[in-house]
This record gives sequence, C-alpha cells and structure tokens, in this order.
Amino acid sequence: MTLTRHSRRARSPRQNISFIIGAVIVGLIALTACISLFYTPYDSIKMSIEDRLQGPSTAHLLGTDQYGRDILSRIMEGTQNSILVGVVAVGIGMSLGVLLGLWVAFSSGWVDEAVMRTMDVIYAFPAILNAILLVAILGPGIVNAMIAIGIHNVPIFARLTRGGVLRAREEEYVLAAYSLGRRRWAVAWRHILPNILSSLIVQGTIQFAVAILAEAALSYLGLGTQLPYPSWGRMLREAQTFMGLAPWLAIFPGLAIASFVLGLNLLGDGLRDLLDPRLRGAG
Amino acid sequence: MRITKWIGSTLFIIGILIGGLTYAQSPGGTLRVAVQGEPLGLNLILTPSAETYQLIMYNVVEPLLRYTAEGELTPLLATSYEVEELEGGTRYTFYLRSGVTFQNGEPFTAHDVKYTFDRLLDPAIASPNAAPFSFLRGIEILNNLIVRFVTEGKAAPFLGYLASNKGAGIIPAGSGMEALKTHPIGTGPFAFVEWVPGDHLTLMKNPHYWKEESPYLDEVIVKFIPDQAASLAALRAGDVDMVDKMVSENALVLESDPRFKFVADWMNTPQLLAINNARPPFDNLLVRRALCYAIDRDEIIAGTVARPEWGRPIGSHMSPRNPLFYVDLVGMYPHDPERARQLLAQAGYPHGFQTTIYLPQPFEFHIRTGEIIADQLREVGIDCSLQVLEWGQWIERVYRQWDYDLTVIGDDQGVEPAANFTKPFERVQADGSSKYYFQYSNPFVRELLSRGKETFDTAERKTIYAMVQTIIASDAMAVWIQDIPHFEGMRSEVMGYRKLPIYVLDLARLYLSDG
Amino acid sequence: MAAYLTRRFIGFLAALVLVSLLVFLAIRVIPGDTAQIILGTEADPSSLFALRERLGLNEPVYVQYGTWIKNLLTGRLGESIRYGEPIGELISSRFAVTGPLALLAIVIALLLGIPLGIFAATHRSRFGDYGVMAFSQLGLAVPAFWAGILLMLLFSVKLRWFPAGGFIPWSKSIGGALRSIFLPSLSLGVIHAAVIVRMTRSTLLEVLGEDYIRTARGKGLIERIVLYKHALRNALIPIITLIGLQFASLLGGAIIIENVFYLPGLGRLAYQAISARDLPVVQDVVLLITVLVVGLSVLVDVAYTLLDPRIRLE
Repeated sequence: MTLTRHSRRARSPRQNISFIIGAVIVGLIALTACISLFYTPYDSIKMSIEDRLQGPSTAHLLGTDQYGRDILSRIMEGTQNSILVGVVAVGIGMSLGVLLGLWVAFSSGWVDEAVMRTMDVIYAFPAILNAILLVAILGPGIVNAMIAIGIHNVPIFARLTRGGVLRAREEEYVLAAYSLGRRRWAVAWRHILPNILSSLIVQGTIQFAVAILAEAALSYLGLGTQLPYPSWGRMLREAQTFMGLAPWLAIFPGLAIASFVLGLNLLGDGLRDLLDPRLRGAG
Repeated sequence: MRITKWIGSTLFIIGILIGGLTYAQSPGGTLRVAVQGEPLGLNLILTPSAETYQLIMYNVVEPLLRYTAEGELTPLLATSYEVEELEGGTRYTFYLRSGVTFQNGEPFTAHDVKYTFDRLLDPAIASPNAAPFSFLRGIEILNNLIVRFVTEGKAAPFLGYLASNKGAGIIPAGSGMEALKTHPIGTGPFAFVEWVPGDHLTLMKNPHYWKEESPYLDEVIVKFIPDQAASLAALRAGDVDMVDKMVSENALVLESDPRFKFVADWMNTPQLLAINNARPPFDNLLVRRALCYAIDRDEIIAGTVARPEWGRPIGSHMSPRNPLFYVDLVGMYPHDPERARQLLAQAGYPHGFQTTIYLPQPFEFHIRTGEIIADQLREVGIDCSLQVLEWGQWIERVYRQWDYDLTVIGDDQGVEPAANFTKPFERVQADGSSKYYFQYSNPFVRELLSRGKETFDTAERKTIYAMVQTIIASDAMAVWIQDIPHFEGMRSEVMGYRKLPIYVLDLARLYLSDG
Repeated sequence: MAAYLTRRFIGFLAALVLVSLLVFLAIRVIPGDTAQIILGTEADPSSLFALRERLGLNEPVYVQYGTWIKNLLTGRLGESIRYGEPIGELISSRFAVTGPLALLAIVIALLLGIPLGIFAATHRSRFGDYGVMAFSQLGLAVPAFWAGILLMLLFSVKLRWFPAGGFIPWSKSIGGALRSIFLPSLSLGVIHAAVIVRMTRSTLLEVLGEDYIRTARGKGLIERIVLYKHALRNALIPIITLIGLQFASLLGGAIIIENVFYLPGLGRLAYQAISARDLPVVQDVVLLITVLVVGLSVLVDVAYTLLDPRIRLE
C-alpha cells in the first residue's frame, strides 16, 4: 500500500499545474460573468435582422446569429447562465445529499439498505432521461432543469457523506467524543463534516462540470433555459439548423462549454491532490 | 432536289427526336417522397390526422367533388349535381360516374356513398371529422348511380365540405373500420400496398382507375423523415426524389444545385399572434390595436424566411392562397411603433406592461417568429417573456383551458370559409362568450357567418366573408403575420407538381421526365 | 456467496418495482391529455371520450397499473398509441439502431483508450504522460452532442463522406447502416475513451507499483515483459466492469446523440413518446432501460466480485 502512495505523491507537483490551469480557466470565466453583468459589446437580446448570419469580423468578433445578435455578447452572458445552473444544481445535490447521507449513516441497517438501493437506482438511471421526465412534469425552464439535475446529484453526495461517516466513526477522536457524552448529530457536525469537507469540495467541483454539460444537453433539446436568454446549449441547437449557411455558429458555444468543463475538471483534480491525496479512491 | 432531300431527312430526324423526347416524358417509374409527419392510422373516418389526410385523400380515396389548384370545385366521383330548395331544407342530387371500380375490384355505386356517410355520422363511431356535416338530414339512394342528400337549411358550404372534409372520401360499402386503419381502399389513382410504421408507406398505380392515362407513376414510396436536415441530405444523396414541405433555408441550398429544383408556394395556413381577447389587458381594443401597430411583418419575414420575396404578409384570418374569398387588409395596421405607444398610453399603460407569449414546441417557424415579435414588442414597452410549451402542454393550456396571454400558431385552412370560421367565431356558450381559445365573441359576426351558410350566391358570399374579415381585423382580434411558405424540393426530372390549396399531396399529376 | 447474490437479486427486483411505479405515476402526472393530442385540436368531446375508453384511460389508476404489470408478466407489451404498432416490434426495431451504436462506441473507446492508457502509464516522461492526460481531459470536457455537430459539419456537410443524419436500415444496406452510425458512435466513443484512458492508466500504475512486480523486475528484462502481461491482466479487471457500466449509460445517454443525427433509436423513441404522451411506450421503454441499466450494474458488481479475489464481499 505504501508503495502506491509513494508513486502518487511523486505526481503531486504535476497535479499542482492541473490546479493552476483549472483555476485560471474558471477564474477567467467567472470574471467574464461578472463583466457581462455590466458590459457586453452589444445587447445580447436585441435583434437586428439586417445583420443576420455574418461571419466573424472587426465589428462582431465572433459573428452574428440568425437574428443579427452578436455572438460574443451572447457567449459572455451565457457564462452567467452556466454558473447559476452549476451553483444551484450542486447546491441542491449537496445539501440534500449530505443530509440524507448523515441520516442514513446513523440509522439502522434496514433504512440504510433501502435508501441506498433507491439512491443506486436514481444514480444508475440515465441522467438525461431522468431530467427529461422531470422537466416534462414540471415544465421546461431553467429552474426545473436545475432541480432535475440537482436531484441526480443527490445520490453521489449521499454516498460520499455516508462513506465518510462510516469511516470516521472508527476514528479515535469520534469514539472519544462519544465517550464524553456528546450526541450523535453534534459529533457529526463538529467532528465528522469538517473531515469530509475536502472530498465534498472536490466532488462538488466535478459535479459542477457535470451540471453544465447536463444543462447544455437539456437546452439543446429545448427543455432548459428559455428564450431569449443566451444558453450555450440552445445556441448549438440553433446553429445546427443553419449549418449549411453559417458553420461558425456551431463552433463558439461548444468551445465555451468545453473550456468551462475542462477548467472545472482540472480544478477538481488539482484540489483533490492538494487537499487530501488519500481520498483519491473515495466517492 | 438534293436540298429538298436534305431538308426532308433533317426534318425526319428532328421529328424522331421530338417524338423520342415526348415519349421519354411519358408514364412510369417510382417516386420516393420524404414527408415530415407520419399518419396516425390510415382510416380518414377515424382520424383527424393531417398527415393521413395529405397522403390518402385524392390519392387512395376520392370524394364526390374535388378542388383544383386554383381552388375551384370540379366533378370527381360525381359528374354533375342539382340543387333544389325545399321547405326549410335543401336537396342535393348527385349523378355518379359510371364504370368506376374500387381498388379491390368492386364496382362503385351510390350504396358506397351512403355507406361512407352513414359511417362518418354514426354516433357509435364518433368520428372527429363528422361535425361539419351536422346539417345533414338524410341520404337517399335513387338508383345505382344517383344519390341524394337532404340538408337542413341551405347548407351552402356543403359542396366545399364534400370536396375537402377529411371523412368525405368514399369507401366500399361493408368495409370494416378497423381494417381500413391499416389497409385503406378507395377509387383513387393509387392503391395502398404497405405501411411500415416509423419508416415508409408504399402506394402503387391503380390498374382499375377510371381516368384514362392517369396516374403517370407506377409506384410511390413515402418515407417518413421528420427532420429537415436529414430529408435534405437524403435528397442530395439520391435516397429520395422529392421532399415535401422543406424549410426555406434548405430551398436556398437547392437553388445553387442544378440537379435539383423546388416549387415555391404558400400553405394556405395563416400564421398569427393569437390574443386571448377575454384576458386583461387584451380585452381592451386599444391594447390589441397597439400590438398590431407594433408588429413589423416585413422584419418577421426577413428573419424567418430565407428570401424575403418568398414570404407573404397577411392582414386577416385568411390567406391570398384562397383568392375566391381573401381580402387584403395588410395595410390596415402599418408598422408604427410610435402609434403603438400612443395607443398604449391612451389605454392606461404609458410604461407598457409585462406579458408571456407561449410558443408550441415542435414548430421552429412559430418559435422563431415569437422571438422576433418579443423583440418588436419590447420596442414599445411591452416586456414579453417567452415560454416554449410542449405540444401536449400547448393544447392543454392554450387550446383547452384558454389559459394564456399571447401565442404564435398557424391556422391550417381549406378553401371553404365556413370551415375556417365556424368553430372560432360561431360557437358560443350560453352567456354568449366564445368557446374557442381566441375568446372573441361578436354577435354581428355570428349573424354574418350564419347568413354565409344560407346563400348560394357567390357574390353575396364573397361580400359576407369580406365583411367578416374586415370586422375581425378592425377589432384586432389577433395580429396576422404571414401565410407560411411552402417549398417542395425535388430532382429536376420530377414534373407536374402543383400545390393544392388544401393539405393534400396530389400525386396523380407527377411524372418523371427521364422516363 | 449465494446469500450475497440473492440479496443483490432481491434488491434488483425491488428497484424494478419502485421504478415501474415511479414511471407509471410520473407519466400520468404530466399535464396534457393523451386523447386530445392524438385526435388533434378539432376533436369534439364524444370522440375524445371514446378514445380514452379504448385506451383504458377512464379506469382508476391502480387498475391501469395492475393491467400493465399483468400484461408485462405475460409478455404482452401493448400497442403504441401513436403508431398503432405493437411495442415489442417497435422496441426491437429501435434497438437495432441503439444497440449497434452503443457497441461501436464502446469498441472505439476501447481501441483508443486502452493503448493510450498503457502508453501513459509506461511512458512517465513529461510529453507522453502529459499528452495523453491532456487528450483525456479534453475528451471529458467536450459535450458529446457538440462533438457530433462538429463531426457532422466536417464529414457530412463539407466533405460529404457520411450522411448528415438519418438511418439506412440494416435490411437495406449494411454498409449504409454502418455509415449512418459511424459519426454518432465516434462522438460518444471519443468521450468514453477519455474515461477509459484514465482508468487504464491509474489501475496499471497501481498494479505496477505492487510488491510482486518490483520483485519480478529485479529478476530481469524478459521476465518483466511476462509480468507486464500479468500486470495488465489484473489492471484490466476494473476496466471490464467499467465497460459494463459505460454500455449501460450509453443506452440511455444515446438520446442526445440520436437527436443530433436523427437516428430512430431507443432513446429518441423514449423522448418522442414522452412528448406525444404515448403512455404505453413511455412505460415500457423506461422500464426496459431501467432493467438494462440496473441489471448491468448488478452483473458488473457480481462479476467484479467473482473476478477479483482480493475484494471483500460487502
């Protein structure tokens, strides 16, 4: 076992680069989102039909879409959309998942088994189909898409939390706290959670990336962010209709999605090895 | 002498060449057509599906009369008819064509006509296409080739319904309704061969067809390709010969390719921004008129149709594709955002208001229109949020529960105006309020419409329906935008295509010029 | 062992029942009247009622559920409301698209992923490992449907080597069918390859770091190659289980790709059936996907347990 640890730690400096690149990308995107709250080169919603379907030029760095809207501005505003979805979906997944995981870990075996099997089913079920069904029930829209994606995150965090609790229960400091008469929930809150916090952060980063991909897919199908707000996924759907006339429409939104997800994945990997390499196998 | 011989032989050769060319344009061949929507069962008495209608009507089954491409009624299974007015009713006597047989070999007689309408109006079958014929009192068979209908009142639209109603295609007496769902039988130029759901439907030339030299094609294979990009790809790859109802962007792609061509026309389907007339602030005439002035039809056409000249703006609940009854009211509300703002201020909304436009999910054309409209309304201070509803949800919320502000939709119309106006404008509840999602109720319009059904005088009917259109437009019941463009893409060798003013794909006239 | 298997199997059945209930209720909760959608906007109340009667929609909910389960157990999947076709035939014809699509995607993923993973694990030099890991990161970041659109743009629209969507049936032309699923499979395959690369690399590294490998190495080069083979074999066990899980997720995840390339597959059937409120189809297809996915993951768990004697049974 020690040998594997050794080879892992030898890689740490390189993983640091992963963290750096990831942080830079994510940082840039977050910065773009902040900037776009106040300024974009053009109004991303206002139409200008005479200017439709123009290629990249000095006036419009990334070209215009089928209604003459500036693509650069729409991509910039799209960052707000993606960040919002990521935060809410992971937020829902994490909060519900952690609570569920804690509850299950402190409950009897029967409850544990039943709930975890349900989690397994939810997790095994194709996320997209889940989301489509949920959105069909609740109606399309960014809020419902976030809920649908969030629900799919719950099993992951539940399992993570449960595992963390089960492991930590064996630790000395926990046993000591018990012997001092502390109640279970207090012990969980003050001793156990801080220890799984790092793995939650790492997993959260990764699930953020997954959420962005999921929202893009749902918006592509027309079930996510609604018109006329810019969503990278729906921009790709619209681009497909005009593939023959304006191929550049399909390139930039996808590039935005890929960049953000790449940044988040690199960040997550980097965080994982920085915060606690031991947890590489967890979750 | 030599010169004459020379000229003679040259002419002879030219004659052979011409003869050869004309022979090369004559019948035969298989045509593969791509259509977007798939039928829901092939029995037109049981289903209102427009997809079934477009393939089966006129091709497999035939009604007593039919419409030409110009929208005129001509004889089909009935060669002539007489109209007699009685006490409180009218008698229509039809003289049927002799020597006609069904595709299964059985002879066509008046018994088949009676059987068809008995099934159509049978309450046990509850056909979704029966309602227009509610004025039918009885059907009489005088002899094998004469059948008589008696209606209540004049029933002026009756002939139009006979030519275009979905259930009006004549089926053999004794046919089972279930059997016809998967194997339709009629007197038409094409006989049904097979239907592989999700893939294709095959029709073949009817050897018993009563009309000489018709149809030209030996076989038609209808492929179901719901996606425009896929059907365009299939056409260019040679997998199909014709694509029904292409979008304008694809027609543009075909323009530069000499192997293909397209026929541009309009669908006779007015596209409109439907307004919920019963819901504030839209119950206010000033507000509705403001919407009309705020909308720029030309800009919408520029943004939804690849070439602006392929678009056709409309100003009333009808399309110029119906030349007999259409009235051009496009000029009633020219694009005038300033005027719109004034009207809104007058109505008590100097700073505009907020509203929602529902857009129906599979219809990209309406969704795009909706986006542009939202942009135009924002100009005058009306802040629209757009919501795309799945088709099922649209029908539930907009169509059934009338729970909406604004929506963009197309109204598929035929030639007979009574068919287009009855349901939206004539049907009312006990308190006089509308039973239709437009929620528009005008007693004067109702009176005009019932008079329109009671007169045979074409000039009078034209005036009546012109008045109806003008009143509705003046009331700004909705904002009418354009007649949806229709593009039929095909290989250059496919000839004879003409768009009918109803939702029917006329296959009999098609032929392939390379033999 | 037997006890473990039995427990897993019971868990599997319980999951199925739960999902069937959930799906059944979910599809009925969705707003939108099936009869109205099918008969269209012009239908009048009596014909709507008649259709609902025919479809059994007027029965109480628990009766409908019972009828459905009973029919399933006797092998009767029912009829699609939209097409009128027996669902069994519908599913098998759609599966003829999705199955090969998923299979080809896995094959591509393996052909790309395993060699690259081995290369990364054995070439610890900066460029070798870095390059492969960079590729893997890109593969994970790129959305499958974007990859599909780009491939379509290049190979179908510009180069015309492949059809821009649509599916040519196997019965028509095997070559045509393969060409129809190649680009979609490639889009999915490259992304799954990225996952396989990482897994291969990490498990191989772990195995290579083991004691017995180090001892063997000390014995000489030729032995090293032989042991390398052993190392690989052990490293590949988790890969096999990973493939099982990926195949399962591909089946459902193909929904998006089938939409991009307009393929008449299982995913697209489910999606369209939900829009059309085709209740029987949605119920059956979603249940089928669950059976496949959950069943596969149970199989994979069991297989993993059987294959790797080091893993303790839970």
